[in-house]
Amino acid sequence: MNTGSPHLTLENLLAEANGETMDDLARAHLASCPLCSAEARRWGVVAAGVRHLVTATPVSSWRPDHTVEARRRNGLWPAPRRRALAVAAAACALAAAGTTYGLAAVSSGSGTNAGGHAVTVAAGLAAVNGCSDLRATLGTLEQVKGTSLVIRSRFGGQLVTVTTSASTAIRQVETGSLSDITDGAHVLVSGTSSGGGIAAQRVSVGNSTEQPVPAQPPSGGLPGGTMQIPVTGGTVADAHTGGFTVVTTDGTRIPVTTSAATSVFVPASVTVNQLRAGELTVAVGTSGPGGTLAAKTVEQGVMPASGPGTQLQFPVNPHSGISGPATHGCSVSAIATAALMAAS
Amino acid sequence: MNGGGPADAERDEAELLRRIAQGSQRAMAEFYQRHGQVVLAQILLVAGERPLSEEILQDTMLAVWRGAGSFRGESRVRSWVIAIGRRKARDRMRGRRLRVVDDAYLAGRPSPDPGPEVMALERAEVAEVATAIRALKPAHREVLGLAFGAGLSLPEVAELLEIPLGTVKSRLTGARAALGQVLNERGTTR
Repeated sequence: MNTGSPHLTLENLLAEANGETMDDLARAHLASCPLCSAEARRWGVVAAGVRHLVTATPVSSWRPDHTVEARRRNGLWPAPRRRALAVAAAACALAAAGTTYGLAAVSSGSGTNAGGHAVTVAAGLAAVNGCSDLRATLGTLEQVKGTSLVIRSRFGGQLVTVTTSASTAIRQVETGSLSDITDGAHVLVSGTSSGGGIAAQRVSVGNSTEQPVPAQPPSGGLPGGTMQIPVTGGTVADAHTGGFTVVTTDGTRIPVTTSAATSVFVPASVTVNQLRAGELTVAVGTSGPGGTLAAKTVEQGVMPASGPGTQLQFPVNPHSGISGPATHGCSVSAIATAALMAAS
Repeated sequence: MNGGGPADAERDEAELLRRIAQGSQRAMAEFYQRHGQVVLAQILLVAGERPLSEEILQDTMLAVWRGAGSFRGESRVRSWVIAIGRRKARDRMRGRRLRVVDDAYLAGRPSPDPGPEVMALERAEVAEVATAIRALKPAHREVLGLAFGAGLSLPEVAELLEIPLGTVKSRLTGARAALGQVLNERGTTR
């Protein structure tokens, strides 16, 4: 109530217009005062008009890339930051052509790997097709215990202990921009087929010092089925507004188009303590004692596609798996990045 | 008007910002979902142009992404992000020679009697009111958006606009009077 007037304050009237609670005295006055009642009604009309404007304002999704591009167009964006890009994607250009890898997810059990060798995998881990020594897990990071991680695997929901060491590469995915795609950069690209090339939905960009480890030629089956990861990679050439060319290790040139709907990601190096519980995490390495995974690389983050298009599918069924394209070989960082792309 | 929302909701908002500060894109997407529409509507009320407002919104959210760690909890999160949006809008529109209008002019001619403007307001349909709001001066649109669209309290509006509380009240009253005048000039359907 207004102490200097017998009528309601503007605060009271706006509270009524916004559907908020008033004290009993104010409410009683409103019910008995035709002047205040009329004022509250008029403010209610104004409030309804404003709310109508708000609800009639469709909002598009958050597009940091778009922002960067918009700023650059308007001359408001400084020169792109040149980050030290510790990147998973580089390895994609290093593998032998004509080979494949994949993750074959099993609860536990054994089978035959792509090279025809017997494979045994622990619960929550996956064999990597074409890379007989490698194992991987992907899921939600539940806990960091010293230098070890506990990941709830999507391969059946088991908790998997992942050990790390000083040599383990640990990265988190950061949002980049189209300007990060420059000639000579190593990239992984996922998207849809378009005129003999790829209309990119996600591009992971960066450099890697990882040495190439060719995958074995595929043959035979793994425990469970396999599914292609529609991810390709290589070195960028002819980068220009609207696209670039990916040159794979065998020299194949794949035209890639980019647009405002293309999401760009840059994995950046972090320490194990900087990993976040609750986030999507992938680890690739070798089998350790007691069903653990000795990680060579750990990557964390989601890589959502901004625009409409085909969503990649990552298997959650422990009896299915994924197989990648020919460009990656057994480079663990590329395997990890491609898995995050597929799982996001 | 009641000041901040429930304490639990504010704690939840602050936690969301904390996760954004740690680099969670998922948290950022959730923040955008919670606040994007209201912030865009508020920017649109000030800037008046959809494409420009979209860009200002993206600038605003990029600033949130990069500066979430700077949130100190001294205001509600909604008020904080709108203040960022307001600064971004001001930056973008600085070169457009925004006309400064004093509050004596903005206050209009409020009258205790229900004149034709008040009658027009009472007769108006919601959609007509919304359309008429777009015809108001930016300062009027802005204060209405903050009070009714963003749901800020009058002291929060005063702090955000950096004007005295009394000026907020007179500006609101002036905005309503101007709205009634626009509706009266255009005629209403009821």
